[in-house]
Amino acid sequence: MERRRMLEYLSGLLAATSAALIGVPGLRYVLGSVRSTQSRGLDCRLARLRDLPPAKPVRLAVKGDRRDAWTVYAGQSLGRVWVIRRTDDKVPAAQSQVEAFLATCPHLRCSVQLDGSGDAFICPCHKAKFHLSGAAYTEQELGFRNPASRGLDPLPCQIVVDAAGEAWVHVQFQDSSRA
Amino acid sequence: MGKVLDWLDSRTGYRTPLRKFRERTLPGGPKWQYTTASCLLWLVVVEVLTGFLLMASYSPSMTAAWASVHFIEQDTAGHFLRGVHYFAAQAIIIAFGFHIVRVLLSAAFRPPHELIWITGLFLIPLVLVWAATGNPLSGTQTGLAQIEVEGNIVGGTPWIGPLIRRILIGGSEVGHLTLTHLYFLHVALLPVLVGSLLMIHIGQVYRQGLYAANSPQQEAVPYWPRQSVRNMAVLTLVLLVISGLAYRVGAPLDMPADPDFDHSPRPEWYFLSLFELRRHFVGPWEPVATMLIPAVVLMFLIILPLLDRACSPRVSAALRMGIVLIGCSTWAGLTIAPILSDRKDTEHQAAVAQLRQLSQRARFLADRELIPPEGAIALLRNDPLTQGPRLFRLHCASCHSHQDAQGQGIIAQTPSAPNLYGVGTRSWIEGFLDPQRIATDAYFGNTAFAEGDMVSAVGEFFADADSAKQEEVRRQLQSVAAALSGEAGFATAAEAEEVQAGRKLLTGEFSCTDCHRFHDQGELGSAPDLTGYGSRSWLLGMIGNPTHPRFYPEERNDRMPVFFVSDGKPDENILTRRELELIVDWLRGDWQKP
Repeated sequence: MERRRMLEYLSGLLAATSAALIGVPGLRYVLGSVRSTQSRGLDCRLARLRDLPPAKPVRLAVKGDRRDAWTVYAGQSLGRVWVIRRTDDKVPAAQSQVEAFLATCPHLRCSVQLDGSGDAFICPCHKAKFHLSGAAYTEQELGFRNPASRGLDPLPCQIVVDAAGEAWVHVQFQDSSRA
Repeated sequence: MGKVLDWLDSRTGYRTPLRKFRERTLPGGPKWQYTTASCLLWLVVVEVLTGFLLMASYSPSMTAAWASVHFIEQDTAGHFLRGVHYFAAQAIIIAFGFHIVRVLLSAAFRPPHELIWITGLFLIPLVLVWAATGNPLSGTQTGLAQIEVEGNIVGGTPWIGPLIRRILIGGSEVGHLTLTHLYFLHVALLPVLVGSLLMIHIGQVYRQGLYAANSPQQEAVPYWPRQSVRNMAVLTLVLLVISGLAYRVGAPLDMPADPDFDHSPRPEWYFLSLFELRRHFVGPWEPVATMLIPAVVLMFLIILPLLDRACSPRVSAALRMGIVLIGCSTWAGLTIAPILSDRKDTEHQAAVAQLRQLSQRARFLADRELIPPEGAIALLRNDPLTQGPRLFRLHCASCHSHQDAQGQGIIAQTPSAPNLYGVGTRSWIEGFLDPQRIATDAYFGNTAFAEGDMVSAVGEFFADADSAKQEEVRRQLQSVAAALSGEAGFATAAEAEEVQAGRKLLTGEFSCTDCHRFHDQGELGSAPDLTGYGSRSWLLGMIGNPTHPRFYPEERNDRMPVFFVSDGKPDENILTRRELELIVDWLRGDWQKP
């Protein structure tokens, strides 16, 4: 009986080892494929700094390579951004401040426009409104509950000076700040 | 816990079959030789499981197959699972061999086990075909070459051959439908067929019990745990070997299938015996080797139980041992023979080496940049390093050589134009501006310019000068060469001063702009434009149309054809725009480097 029990345990142990040899990598593989394969933050060159008027929002299209698992689609239109140059010409190019926001509404992803006066962003779908700082209007300011629960999604923005001395605005484009 | 299991048993009755399994007895008791069946079965389970997992990421399309497999390989777990799938398939075939030998030697086919024997025999070709439908799915050059050859073999069968081939290939040529058809066979039809036969096979084993000629006594020792522990030990060992191979070696991935490249296809090792057999039956006799002989062998094995019944036990034992020995040695001989003869076949070895090189390049390019929508075939087709030599040989090597200082490279058939190795680089231009070399084969020697104005001009730079002055002229010309290599984008930051000096000498002391245009100085017409000399656009222009006023217009052109007229005139172009760009990028050394 002793020997029999030992053999039973041994059988079970060997079976478990065999299962683990295949099962553990299998599980890792399945869980791994659930990870997002979309590149986080694609660096895209948007515009020359000197083409951007200070304090005026400019809507720009982002062009780049779109990656889909094993394929890359070159020169695709990835989306649109609102870009606002915060500093004026008095500040040297390398220290200029530029902000960029995804031009899709955080509510249901409609395309955000500039309102008539140019002082705020509005979304035509459900009348969400945002300050030029990107922050959403509060209920008091708006008069009704703002459909957008958060402000416009900001995107990291840098000034890059190229070899010829030209200052370019670069943005780390991401489709949504929430995966 | 016990109560839960009791409830489950009262609803499903699972304990009854489990007990049948546990308390099964075997002839002569638990033995190591009985592990072949269990090992084989569990390997099939592993194969199916890894197959399912791979299905989650694999795409059976000519444009996506190779790319999706490469994608799987990027993930460690994916690489491991694909490796297991590859090596376990071969382990199944090997284990199947052991199993057949064990069954033959123990005459386990004796009544009432006939159905076990017959289903088992039909499983042999099914499992082999199952493996054969799997290899081309990676979209590799070898995989698709194999299925093309296998399709042609099948197509050679009288009457139904061409029909089966069309079903296998999905038409008359290998294409999208080939992969989808193979995928359907591999993941749907063959698993169903194999599964059905296995169910009958194993069902019969349980119903009839096992038989072994040399130990007819069923021992009262139950299956569990004494046989199970042996089974599991063998399985664990085999899986450890497979896992080790999967992790360290991995499944191969050669270059994406591309009909532009020659190859010397070979089947997988388990088909080499048929491949060798086929070599001895040429032309219309081929189906004898590929269809008739295997069919005859199969039929013989099917009726073996009848033969066995007709002989005495000792004759039967000798017959079965004879079959095993002759079968194994024939199979081994037919498998080893082509391996040995391939080793001596230099052409085949050269093709194998080229395939290895191209495959490494394809994988390197795929690692570097993602694959364009046209599929992995575009990787090598757009690679200057791969296409350059090929296109150069085809279109340029009748006149131009591309040979380095050691004499390695492409030699022109009849050298009648400059050696283009390093064209536009500083050292190439220095050689050009050297009176000892400009009129040699490497530059103008075999051309109409051998005694022309440029040759005499270079000679005159050094005319009536003492050795000190000659040395200075030489150094100055080196600066000019640096300046011109700068036009091509080859000058380094360290050479910036020399480039500036060279440019001044070019327009000043050496008066090159008397004949050559150089930026805003000089005129076109009497000599090639030196603006952007050797740059990508300059070379595209020069090779595309050497008779353009920028280069060698009208009578000044020696013999060089116009290779690219325009995009709008494809019939008049010798090269496509893409081919022209590939040649130029190759000449300039502009390709992806590690």
